Amino acid sequence: MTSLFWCTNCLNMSTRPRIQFDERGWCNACQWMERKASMSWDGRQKELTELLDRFRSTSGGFDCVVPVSGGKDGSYVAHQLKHVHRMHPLTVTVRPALELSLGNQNLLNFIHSGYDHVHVTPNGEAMQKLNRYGFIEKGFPYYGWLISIMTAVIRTALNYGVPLIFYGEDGEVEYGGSTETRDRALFDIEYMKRVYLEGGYQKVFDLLDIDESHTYFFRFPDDAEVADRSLHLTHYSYFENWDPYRNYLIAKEFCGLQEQDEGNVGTFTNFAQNDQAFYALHTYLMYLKFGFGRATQDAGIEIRRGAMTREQALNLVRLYDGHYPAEFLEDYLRYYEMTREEFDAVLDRYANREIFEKIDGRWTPKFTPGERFEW
Amino acid sequence: MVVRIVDYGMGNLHSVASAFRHLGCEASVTSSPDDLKGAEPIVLPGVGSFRRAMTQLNRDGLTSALRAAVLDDGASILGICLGMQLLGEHGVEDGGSAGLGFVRGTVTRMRTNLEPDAKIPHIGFTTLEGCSGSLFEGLPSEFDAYFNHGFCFEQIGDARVTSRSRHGQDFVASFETDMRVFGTQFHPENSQAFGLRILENFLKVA
Repeated sequence: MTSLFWCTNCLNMSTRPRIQFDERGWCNACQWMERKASMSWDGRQKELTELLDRFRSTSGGFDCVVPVSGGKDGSYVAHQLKHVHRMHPLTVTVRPALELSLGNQNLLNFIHSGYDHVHVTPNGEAMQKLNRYGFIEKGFPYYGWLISIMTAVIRTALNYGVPLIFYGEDGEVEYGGSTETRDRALFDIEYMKRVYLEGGYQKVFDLLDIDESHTYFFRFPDDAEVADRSLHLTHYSYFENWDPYRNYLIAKEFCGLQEQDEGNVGTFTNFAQNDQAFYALHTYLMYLKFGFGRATQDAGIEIRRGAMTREQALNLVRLYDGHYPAEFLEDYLRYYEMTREEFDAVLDRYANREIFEKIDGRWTPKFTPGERFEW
Repeated sequence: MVVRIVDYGMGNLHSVASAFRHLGCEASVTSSPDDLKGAEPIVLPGVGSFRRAMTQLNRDGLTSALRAAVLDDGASILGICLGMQLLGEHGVEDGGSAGLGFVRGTVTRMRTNLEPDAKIPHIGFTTLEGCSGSLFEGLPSEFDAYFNHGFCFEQIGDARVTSRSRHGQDFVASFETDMRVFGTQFHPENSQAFGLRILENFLKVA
């Protein structure tokens, strides 16, 4: 018998990749939250100071790269590094497909609040091919963009001779997944390839017949290019108690962040992931594959920070999760060059039939969120 | 001492102001950010939609004035009903909006999981349970207070919950923090003698 269950503290599901549970039924994100509550951050703050002092620029050049989208987390990290730690960050945005106007406005507000910024637009034709391939073959609707936010950021750092890259949070550690980097500040390109890309992608370029000259921002630099250069990758969340809501408040106050006027598709929050239309499809596919959507993720964060009870969260999850992203459907079809039938056929490919059944043309869960389900 | 009652166009201002005047305290009703400077106590009343209230507060420059008064000038604040909810971080009503963020909590629609027949919104006198803390000084640990709301906090991450109540579900009826941020989901100004005592207690610690 196979079963599906939920973390007994938050609502992370047993289907979440790389998740583990302890004897109480708590997931590793909740165990980490528990440890964070009582751990001293002094040691890690000291590590941060040492790291920053080691690389701090005294010549007016950039000393760290911060990937940003104009959203709360990147803006927060850039703000802390520049204004609290007196670093000289170069902020970098990799332009997604199907940008949203609110996201663009937020990015402009952020840049104009006083940051040096590079906007990278990877080849659009290659991006479209990779995104379409990812959607069909992997169920990742913005596969090309996911690759480029790693590769293009690393290339930008190398090209500007910046030795340090600060990502925001370590999603694996904060939200449940691999604990490999929980107690380690720095990570490398190999870790990135393994965990975030879940295996290789080199062969895809050949398969899709993408012109080599269009792949620059989608490829990691050769080992030789990196080997003799200093490049250190880290997550800001390693050094302090990461709190997405606090990030939002800081970004709103200092970096011009605005929220969505109407609610977001598939969740109860309106202050996260407002930069691209594909995020709603990404979380819908996540829902079809694993049984949890955007609301479960958001609710888990709120529970772990003590701002919501599990019952309250369950109620929101039942209301919001699994929302078909009809709002952006026309955009998706145009971008992927697909008919509605073809598009839905791709979704059907990823729906986990053990936990979903199709009723009136929509995938409907056989389970009730929060209640153990066996088959 | 002058109690400053914030007028952002959505309040039960009159009854709150007259309750304080009844206690012999000067109460000024204001919608000007400048009037919120300094450490005199502030009362944030309110009835209606979280999101509309925040839109009004933001538009009138009151959000930053309230943050400055409480966080920089050390003014104590009492939020009543919707005013209490606005002290939290986020309300999900109408697509969601940020609150003032003095306490870590999310305001959600009331459920009826414990009492399926309960009518929402919750209107009327209901028992407060486990009353404690400075607002309840000299009061019994259980008594009835007047409520009128359809949304609530179920939990607050970083405040002391000083009473709870139940209508359809269990919810936070009042809280306080070390920064002297107070909230009551019920209306002390409409809760007879015990309610007046709560306002009096607020003035004592404010």
